[in-house]
This record gives sequence, C-alpha cells and structure tokens, in this order.
Amino acid sequence: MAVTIKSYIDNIKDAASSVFEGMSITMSYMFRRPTTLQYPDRIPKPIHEMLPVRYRGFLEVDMDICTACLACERACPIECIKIDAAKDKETRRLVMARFDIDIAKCMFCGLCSEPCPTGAIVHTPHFEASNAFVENLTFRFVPQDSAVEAFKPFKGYDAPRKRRGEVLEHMGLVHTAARARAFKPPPLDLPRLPPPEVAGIKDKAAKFELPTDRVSSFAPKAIGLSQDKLAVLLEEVMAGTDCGTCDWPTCKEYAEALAAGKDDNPHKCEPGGVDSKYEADVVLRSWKAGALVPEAKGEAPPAAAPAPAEAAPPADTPAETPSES
Amino acid sequence: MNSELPALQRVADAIIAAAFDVDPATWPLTELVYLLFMGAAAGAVFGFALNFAGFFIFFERRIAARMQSRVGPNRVGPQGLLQFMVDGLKCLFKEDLVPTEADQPLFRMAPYFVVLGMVLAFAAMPFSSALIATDINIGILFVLGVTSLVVIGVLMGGWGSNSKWALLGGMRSAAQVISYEIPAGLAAMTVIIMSGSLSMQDLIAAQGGTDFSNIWDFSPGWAIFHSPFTVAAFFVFFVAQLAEGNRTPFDLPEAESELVSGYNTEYSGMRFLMFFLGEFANVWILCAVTVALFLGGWQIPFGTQPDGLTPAAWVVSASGPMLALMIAGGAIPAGFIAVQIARYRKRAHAAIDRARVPGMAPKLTKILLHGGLDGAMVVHALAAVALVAVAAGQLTGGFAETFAATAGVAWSTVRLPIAVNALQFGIFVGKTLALVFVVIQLRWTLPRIRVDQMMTLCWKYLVPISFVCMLGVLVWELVIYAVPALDFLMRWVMLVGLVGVVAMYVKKIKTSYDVDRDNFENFTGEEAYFPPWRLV
Repeated sequence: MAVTIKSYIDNIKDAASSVFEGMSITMSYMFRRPTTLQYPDRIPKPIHEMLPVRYRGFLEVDMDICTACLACERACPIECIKIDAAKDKETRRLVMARFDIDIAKCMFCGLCSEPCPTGAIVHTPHFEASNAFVENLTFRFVPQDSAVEAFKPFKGYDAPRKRRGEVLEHMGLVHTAARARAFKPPPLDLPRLPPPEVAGIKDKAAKFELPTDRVSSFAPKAIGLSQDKLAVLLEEVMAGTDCGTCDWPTCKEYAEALAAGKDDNPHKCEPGGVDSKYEADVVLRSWKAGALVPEAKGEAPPAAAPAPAEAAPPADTPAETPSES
Repeated sequence: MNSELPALQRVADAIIAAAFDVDPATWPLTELVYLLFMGAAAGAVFGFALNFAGFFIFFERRIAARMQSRVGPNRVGPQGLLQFMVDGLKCLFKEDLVPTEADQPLFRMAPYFVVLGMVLAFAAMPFSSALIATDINIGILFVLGVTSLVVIGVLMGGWGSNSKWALLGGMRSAAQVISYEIPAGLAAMTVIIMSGSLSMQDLIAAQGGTDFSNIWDFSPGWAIFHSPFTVAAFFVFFVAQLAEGNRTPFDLPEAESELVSGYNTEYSGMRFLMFFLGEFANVWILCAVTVALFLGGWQIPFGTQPDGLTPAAWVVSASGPMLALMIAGGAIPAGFIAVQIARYRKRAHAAIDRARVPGMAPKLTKILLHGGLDGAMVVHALAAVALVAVAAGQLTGGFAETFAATAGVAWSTVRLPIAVNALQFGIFVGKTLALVFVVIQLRWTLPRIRVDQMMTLCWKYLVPISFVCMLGVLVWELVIYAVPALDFLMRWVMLVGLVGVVAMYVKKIKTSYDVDRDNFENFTGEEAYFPPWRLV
C-alpha cells in the first residue's frame, strides 16, 4: 500500500482519536462502583444469605421427617450416604442407628434430594468446607451411639420442613463454626468398613486345575531363595494391578503372605488368569520342595493331587530352611 | 542558579565558615564535609525514589483495579498503602538464584545499572526552585543520557541470563530505547531552543515568571502553550519517553505473552525487585521530565519567582522540605514495623513460648526474645514519633531556625522562601502525579503494539514530526521576535484550544459513563456513581 500524504495524516488522526476514545472509556470506569464482593469479611450479610435459593451446597437431613426409606442412599451415584436402618423388635418401628453423609466425597449432584418423599434431605447454601481433617467432613445426622426413630408420614401431611441450613447451623457445622471445626481433631472414630466381598472367588480358586502341559519360567529361579526374595519373585508373577480380589490390599502383600505361609492359596490372582495362578503355584511348591516340581517341567506328577501337598511338609516347617548362600 | 558553585557546596561552605570559623577553601576537612553533604543529598534522592516506586505500585494497582471494576489491594496497612513494603520484604527473603549457565558477573551486575541509571537521573530533578540535588548546566542532556544507562542494565541482564526469552527482551529493549532517543531528543530541542539553555532550572524558569507591569507578559507561560509545534512536540516527547521507560503500550521487552517476562525472566528475589524499582522510578522520571520541559515544572501559575535571596538563605530555605522528605522516608518503615509488631504481639509471644534455641538456656532465650520483641516495638514506635516530630519541626521552623542561624542567615528572611518552595514542590509533584496517572491509564487502555508497529511509529511518524516541530518552533521564534503580540495571542489560543480538548474529554467520559449507568443500576440496585477518591 502506497503511503500518500492523506493516508499518513489519516493514520495520525486515527491513532489520536482512538487513544482519546479509549482513554475516555477507561476514565469513565474511575467513576463507577467496583463490583467486587469482598468475601469473606467485608460483605453486608453472611455469604449464605446472598446465594441463590437453589444453590447446591452441603447436604443436610432433617431427621424429624426422615422416613428411612433409603431412597437417597440408593440414588447416590458415589455412595457417600450411609444409612443403617433396622426394625426395632419391640416397637416394630424403623430405627436408624446411622445416617452419615461424607461431604468430602459428595459431588453435589442433587440426585439424593430428588427421590426423597418428605424433602428431608436437601442442599443448603453452606459451602465452606476447608478442613484440616477430612474425617470432620463426615456429617453424622444420627448422633454417635444413639438411634433415631424414622418418621411415618400420615395422611394430610403437608411436608413442613426446617429452614435450609438450620440443621447444619444447629449442629455447629457451618459458617461461624467452620473455622473452629476445621482445626479440631477428628471427633469420630468411624469404624473401618470391611473390604467388599466378591462372590465366588474362593470357589473359583478351589476349582482351579493346575495345567500339566506347561513349562514354568519362574520356578527354576525360586530354588534356594530367601523368603524375602521369594516374595519379590511371587510379586513378579502376579498381575500387578493391586485389585484386591485376593483379599489382600496389594499384590505385594499377597506375595509376602504367600511366602510367609500366611495365605495358603496361590490361586487367588484373578487378573493374572491361568498364567499367574499356575506360576504362583509351581514357584511356591518348587521353593518349598527345594527342587522343581514335576508340573513346572511340563509333565504330570506321578501321584494325584495330594502328592504335592504331602511333599510340602518336610521343607515347609521353617521358612528359612533352604540353603542360603 | 547563576552562581558558579553548586548549591550544596555553597551551603556546606557557609556552615563550615560559621561553625568552625575557618576558610572553607583552605580547611583540610572541607572535602569530608562535602562528602557528608553529598551523602545526605544522595540519601534524600534515593529515599524519594524508593518511596515513590513503592507508592507507585500501590497507586497503579488501585487505579488498575478501579478501571476494571475491582477494588485492588486494601488489606495491608491503611487501604493497602503498605502492601509494597510486605512485597519488598518478601522479595528480600527470596533466594537469589543465578542460573548455572548464566554469565555470572553480567547477571549479578545488571540490576545495579538499572537502579544507577534511575538514581542518577534524580540528581538533576528539579523539585522546586531550590530543591534540586545539583543543577548542572547540561541538566536535560544528563537526564536523557543517564536514563539510557537503564538499557545497558537491561541488555546485560538479557545477555547474562543465557535464556532466549531474556535475550530477546534485552534486544528489543535496546532497539526500542535507542530508536526512541531520537524523537525524544528532537522534541526536547524545541523547548531548549525557546529557553536557550540545557539546565533544568533554566528550562523551567523560562516558562513563567509573569511580569505584571508588562501586559504582553501576562500569558500562559508553559512551553506547551508556545505554539502548535510544542503541543505536537509534547506528545512526541511523552510517547518517546513512554517507550524509553518500557511502559505499555511499549512494554515489548517484557511482553509476558511472548517472552515469559522478557529480560527479567531468570531473576528472582532482590535483583528482580531492583529491576522493578528502576522501572517504577523511571515512570517518575519520564513524567517529571515531561512536566519540567513542557508543563511549567514547579512554576506557580501566574506567580513570580522569589528573588533577592542570598545563596545561603536560598539553600537553607530548601533544606527544610528536603530534610523533612528524608526523615519522613525513615518514619514510615519504623512506624510500620512498630504497628505490625503491636498487631501480632500476642501471637509472637505465644510463638516465643514454644521456641527453643539450641545451646541456650530456655529461660535466657525467653527473656531475650520476649524483651527483644517488646523492646523492638517500643524503639520503633519512638523512632517513628521522633522522626515525624523532627520532620514537622523542619517544616514549621524550629530546627530550621537553628540551622539558619548556624549558616548566618536571619530566619525571617527565609520563612517566605520556605513556603514558596513548599508550594513549588507541591505543584511539581502534583503535575507529575497527574501525568503518572495518565501513564497508568494508558497501560489499561492500549494493547501492546507489535515490534514492527513500534519501529514504524518511531521512524516514520515521531522522528519526522519532531523535525517539523523543531523547524516550526525556530520559525515561530523568529516571527514572535518581530511581533511580540503574536506570542501573547498564540499562547491564549493554545490555552483555550487545550481547555477545549479537555472539555471534550470530560464530555466523552460522561457519555461512556451514562451508557452503562442505567444497566448497572437496574442490575445491581446500587447507585453506579462512585468517585475515584472514595475508598472501598
């Protein structure tokens, strides 16, 4: 583009007028009210009073109108609600011994409050959850070591409910108490839940038949190892997914338990399939026997199933018997 | 101004003569006293630069916030005024990292060059008719020269970091500053032609001093009102200075979207802080120089200069505000420390109760630490109060009176000049801060320009325009030499014209404010008007 006198002067004019225009706009902002909300301390009223009505904050349960129908527990996609309800044998009424909501786990989807027949479980406008101990975020709506009788809706019941947030505020779990709560040590000695039971594992392990046409690549290495090294070798044999199907938390612990004799079933590694089960079996028995068992060489044992079991005991008694060199 | 000796030397001579009853020219310790005076002046100037840089950070952040409908820092100290101190303290305690592959001496030296260039420029900064560290006869040339020292520091940092981002930033800075020196120098030439001097004080003196007996002299004296050419030169100079100060829209050397952080990418802690210190103090320099050259400097509008003062009286009159400035610079941190200790005293004592110093008896540790904490608080509070009292005494007489007597000057002859100097100081600082505000406003108005646009602007626009301005001023000077009434006329026309532009500006501000006001009020239910001086 050729630069003419006109375009040159126009450029200067454009620059000057656009800077002028821009400056007048930015300057006009100096006379406007800032929209910043100075959360948390310089606001006209508590923040939970300024949030929209349908804000999905912490969950709370009004135990006065909870029917113990367990609809919320079933609706929760991530199982953060735990309710223990049982029929009291004397009064024949439903009684809840536990109503815990793990707010740390909750994803605030709102699916629990939708099926609730009485509107007992709702989201509150409270959200300040900073905490030094995650256990403090498990809200217990049934006090420890007590029970709450379930509400039985009657005809003409018009679902009166406490104000949203009232329950949490009464329990001292929100806003003003949030800071105090954050730094108190975990008050609840929550019982550890037992590991989930996976049906059929034990039967499957029992049913496992050792293939006889295979040659083990691990069993020769096991001869003459110390117990620790054996555990390492066994862990190599495992699938390594730490799935927990074997009832041990990780593969390492299962391998150590096998090596130490705490677990006598080497066929529990489901993800590893036939390979893992076979290798674990022959490695373990070869180590105990101090020599390769017949299955490891790809030939069927001369005797039937009891044979390896009987062959084991002599070497079995002390774990560190194999010659350590 | 017209004396051969610098002001500082004159007052030092007067004090030596009065206090020790010797001839300063032959006394062996004269040089030592000179050194002390130079140290004091340097301290005052450096203290001012530091305090301004700190204040500027606060000023800029608050204004930027308001321009973006935010509030800005308002927690540390009154309205966040002390935020810069905690930031500085934080930077002091940060690790001073030097990259393994960096050029160590260059990397370590670079920030000092930046600060040096900045502080040297303050040496010739005219705060009032008497408040100037040294009025050298090539003042403006000196200022333009030493501010270019900054670019050496920037280039050293960029090269020494051994990082491509830093190097690119340094190179850009060098290219930019060297290019923009030319229009800046040419635009400054217009004012130099008018006053016929390079001295900062002479440049300012030429822009005022109304003689009420001559009607043709009763006209706006600022250089910007001289003719349309000086108006253009003012804008050229201001833009070129912006570019030299690496301010937006010319902050290409530290373009964070392209160069991470430019030349200071690899810097941390105190060295990083020094780069910024230099940059912020540079904003003062660029605005102050523009004010001194084009906007009348410290001239009291339509006022006359204080004349007929002996050199000693003249400098004594300056010493009051100058020392007060220095002393106030000390009182602020002392008071801040005392207040902070008082605020956290309980917690600090609680922490001391838990403290253990290995190898020291716990009881002794506690006595020392508890005592030290409270002692530090009391000492700092006392120091702050004492410093404020001394500063107040400086301004109201007291110490200055004694000082005047020592220098052999009657207090009554310097009382008025002190007031005049204080007023001039206030006017100069006020004008400069107004321009600083414009610099900040520009930062939040204009986007950063490209490298080629930057070069185009400099070489194709600013340089030719500044040449035209220089020639125009030359011709106009000849014209008004022949017809003095034209000068009077032109100055009033320019004043009215610029007032008209300001009125247009205000109207535009009003328009863009009104456009959004109803929306805001409907949406929030609050009044939209919130004046800039109102604090949140």
